Amino acid sequence: MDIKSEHNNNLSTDKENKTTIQEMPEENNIEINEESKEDDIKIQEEIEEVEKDKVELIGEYIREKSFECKTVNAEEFLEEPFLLEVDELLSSIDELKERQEFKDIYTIKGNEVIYLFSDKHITHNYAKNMVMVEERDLLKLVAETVRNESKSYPRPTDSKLFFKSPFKLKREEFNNVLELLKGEQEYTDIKETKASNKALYLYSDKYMTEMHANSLAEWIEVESNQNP
Amino acid sequence: MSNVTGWTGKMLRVNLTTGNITTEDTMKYKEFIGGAGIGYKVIFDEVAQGTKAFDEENKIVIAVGPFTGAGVPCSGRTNITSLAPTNPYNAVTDSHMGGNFGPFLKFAGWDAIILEGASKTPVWLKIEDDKVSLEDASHLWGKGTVDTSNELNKVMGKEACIASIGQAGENLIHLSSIVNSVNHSAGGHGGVFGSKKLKAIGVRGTGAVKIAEGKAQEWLKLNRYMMTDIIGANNQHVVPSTPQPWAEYHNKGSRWTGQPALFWGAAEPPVETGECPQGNPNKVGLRTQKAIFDLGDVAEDRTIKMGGCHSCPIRCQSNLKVPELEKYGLTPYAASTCIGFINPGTVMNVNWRGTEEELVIKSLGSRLADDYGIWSNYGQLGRDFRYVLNSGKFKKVLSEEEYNSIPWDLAESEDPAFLLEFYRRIALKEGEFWKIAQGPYWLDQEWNLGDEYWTGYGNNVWSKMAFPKHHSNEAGAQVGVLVNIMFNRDANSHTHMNMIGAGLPLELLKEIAGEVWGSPDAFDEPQNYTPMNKYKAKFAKWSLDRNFLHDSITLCNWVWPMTVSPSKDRNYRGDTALEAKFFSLATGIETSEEELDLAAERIATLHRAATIKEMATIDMRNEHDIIPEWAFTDAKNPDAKPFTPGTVIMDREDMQLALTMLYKEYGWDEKTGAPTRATLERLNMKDVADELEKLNLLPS
Repeated sequence: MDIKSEHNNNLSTDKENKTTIQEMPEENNIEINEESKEDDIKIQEEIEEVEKDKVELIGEYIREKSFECKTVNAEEFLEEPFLLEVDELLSSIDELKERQEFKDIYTIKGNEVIYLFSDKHITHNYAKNMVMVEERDLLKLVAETVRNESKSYPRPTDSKLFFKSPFKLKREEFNNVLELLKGEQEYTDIKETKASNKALYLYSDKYMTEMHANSLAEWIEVESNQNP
Repeated sequence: MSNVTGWTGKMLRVNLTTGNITTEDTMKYKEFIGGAGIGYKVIFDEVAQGTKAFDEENKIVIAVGPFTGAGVPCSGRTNITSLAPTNPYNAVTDSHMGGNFGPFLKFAGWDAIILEGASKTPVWLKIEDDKVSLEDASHLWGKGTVDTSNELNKVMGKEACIASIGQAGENLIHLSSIVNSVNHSAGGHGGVFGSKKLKAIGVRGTGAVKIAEGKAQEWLKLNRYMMTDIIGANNQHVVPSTPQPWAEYHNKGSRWTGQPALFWGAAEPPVETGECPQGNPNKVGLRTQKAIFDLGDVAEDRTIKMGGCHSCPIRCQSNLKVPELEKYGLTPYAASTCIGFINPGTVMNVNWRGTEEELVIKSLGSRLADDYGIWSNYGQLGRDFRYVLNSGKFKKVLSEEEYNSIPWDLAESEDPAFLLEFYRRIALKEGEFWKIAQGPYWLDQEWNLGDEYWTGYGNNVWSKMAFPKHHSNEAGAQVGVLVNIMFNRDANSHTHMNMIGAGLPLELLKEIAGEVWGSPDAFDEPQNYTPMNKYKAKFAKWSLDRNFLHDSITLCNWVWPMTVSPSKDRNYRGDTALEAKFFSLATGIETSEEELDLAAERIATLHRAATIKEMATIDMRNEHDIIPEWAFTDAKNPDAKPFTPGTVIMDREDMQLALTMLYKEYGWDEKTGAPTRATLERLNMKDVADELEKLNLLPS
C-alpha cells in the first residue's frame, strides 16, 4: 500500500491572539497495490497503532525534542511522519494536555504558531525565551527578561546575558534592540546603568530605582571582587 | 572508650619544652564537640590571662571532630586554635585548613593535638598511628613548605600528610600560615608554630573512623539524599551562573558554573562539565568550575581538574597548568582557590581583567605564598601594600638603601617577577618591608598610617579589632555586621552569605527565612534593607552558631549549612537538620537539631568568654564590638540615608539596637555584651563562670 497525502494547512493566530485554523484545499491520493496482502495488513496494523495512540507519540516526540533542548513547532505534526490534519492536531494537543501521564507537556502561543515543550527538560521561562528568540521578538525578549529580573531577584540585568543561550544575540543585534527600545512607548521603563568598569546593565524603573540599580551593578561588577 | 564512634576518643598532648608526649580522653570535651570547641576550652582553661601569641606559655590546639574522616560530605577541615599575633590583644582565634590532614589524624586514631611549651631547637612531630615522636628538624629549618613536605614524605611515605610552616612562620611573621598537601593553608598561626620551633607535623594513619553500630544503611541513605536532593555547588549556590533549560533561575554570581561546552580544558582528554542538574549525584563534582570564576575564561584551557579536600564532592580548588611558571624556577602547575589567587592580583593591581598575564601573576603569587607560608589575611595584605604604596609611605618608612633596592619598576610594569621580591622580603624578614605582613593594627603602630587607613571605604579594615571585613554590611546589612563583630579575626562565617548569594528570587528566600528564623522580615532585599528587628538577630545568631558548629564538628562552612537546595520539587527548601542527622548516626548519640544548636551556642559563648578573659574587660559593646566608621558612610552616594534603596550605609542607633538584640538572643548582659553567670550555667559552663568571676569579669 502506498499512501500519498498532501496537506496545505496552516496553524496561525488571529488578531485576538486566538488559535484558528486556516484550511486550504486538500487532495488525498491513495493507491492500493493488491500484490502483497501480508504487507498491507502489517502496514495497516501499524497505521492503526499510530491512530490508536497518536497522542502518546506526539507526547513522546515533544519530550525527546525537549531533552535535546528544542521546543516543537506544532506545524511539525502536519508533516511526516505524523501527517495530521489540523483538526486532528488541535484535538490531539487538547487531549495531550488532559492526560495525566503528559502533564509535563505545555504549549506556548507564538505570534504565528503554537510551540510545545516538556517541563521535565525545559523550564517555562526558558521555553518562553526560546520562542521569543525563534520568532525574533527581540524587544519583548529583552524587556521582559529585564523586568522579570528587576522584579523577582531583584537585580539589574547584565547586558552580556543576552549573548548567552538561549538569547544568543549578536552585538549588533543587541545594540539595535537597545536603540529601538528607547523609541517604544511600551518599553520606556527599561533603563540603562553602568558600573565603574563600564559594564552595561539594564533595569526596569517599574521595579527598581536608578540608585538601587546602579549600586547593585557596582557591587556585582566591582566591589564583590574584593569580598569573595 | 571502646564504644566511642565518630570521635576516636583520644587526644595527644605534646610538651615541646620537655619532649613529653601523653594521651588524654577526648570525651571530657564532648559537650564542645571537637575542633574549635576543644581549642577554645583548652585555651580558656590552660592559657593564663596576659599571655601573648609567641610566648612559650601559649598553646596551640589542632583538633577535628566526629565528622572528620567519617565521610560526611565536605568534612575534610582541620581546625587550629591559639592566641592570634595579629589581634591587638592577642585574643584567641581559630584558623582552618582543608586538604587531608584532619582525616589522616583521625585514621591515626587522634581527635586532637595539644601543643604546649617551646622547643629550643627545630623539631617536627611524627605520628604513625599510635607511634608518636618528636624528631629533629634542623635540616628542614629554612625550607619552604613544599620541600619540607617532600622531605618528610620521603621519611614517612607518600601515604603521610604533612602540615608545615614555611620561612614566614619560622621568622614569626604575623601573617603566616600552616600548610598541608602543598596548598591547603590555615592562616594566622604559622608564627605560633615558629615560636615553638615546630616545623611540621607528619601524620600517617592506617585505621578508620567508625560510625555507630548498625547505622551503615541509614548513613548511606542519608548521604544519597543529601547528594541527590540537597547539595548545590560551592557556597551552597543552588542555581547555575548561566540560563540553562533545566533551571528555573540563574545568577551571574553563582559558583555553579558548570554548563554545556565548558571544559577542564587541560585534562587529557578534556572533560566537559556539561549541565549538572539537581538529582544526579555523579555530576555534583562538575558543578563548580572555579578556575573560570576566579581567573576568567582564560583559565578554562589551563584547567587540569578541579581538586579539593578529603571527602568533599564540591571540588572548588582549581588545578592549573601554567608553563610560564618554569621561568621562575617552579613546576608548571598551580593549585589554589579564591583568595589565594586574588591577593597576588591585588598586590600587582591586575585583578579581574581576565587576561593570561593576570592568570600567570595569580598563579605565581599563590605558589610563592603557599611555599613561604604567608597568609593573605583575606586579601588585606594586598590592600595594605597598595595603600602604603599609593600613599607614598614606603619612601618615608624604609631606609633609602632599602627603598632603592626594591624593583618598583617591576610592580609598575606588572611584571610577575615583582612577586618574587614581595614574598621573599616578607618571609625572610628583610629590612623593614616585611612589616607590611604584620596585620593592620601592628602595621599602623609601626608606620602610623593615619585615620584614612581605618575609615576609608574600600580599604575594608574593621576597626578597632583590626581585621578585614568579611561579608559584613553588604551581606544582609545588620546581620552581616553582627557576624563580623563577633570574632577576633576576619569572620570566616559564610552561613548568612551562602543564603544571600544562593541565587534564588527574593520571595523564595524570604519564605525560607520565615520558616527558619520566624519571619520573612529576617531577610532583606539586597542593598535595600529595613530597620533592625528580632528576626534578624535570630538570623545573625544562627549564622554564627552554625559557623562555630562547623568549625568544631568539622564541616566546611563554605558549603554548609543546607538552608536552601537546588530542588524544585522541594520548592528550594534545604534541610537544616542534616548536621544533627549525621551526628546521630556518627556518634550513636541521638541528637536533635535544637540540641546540636545548643552545643553550638555553648561554643560561641565560650569564644566570647575567652575573648573577655584575654581583653580583661567585660565591656564588649564599647571595647570589642566596634563598628568601623566606613560602615556609616556611603562613598558612592554621599547623600544616601539608611533604609533607602541602593545603599548599605548603617544607622548608628539602629546598630546599637542590633547589638542589644543579639546579646539578648544569646542571653548575654544587654549593656556590656558579656555572658552572664545564668547563661554560662544554662550552657553547663559553671567552671567558666567561676573563672571569669575570679577575674572580676562577670557582669553584675
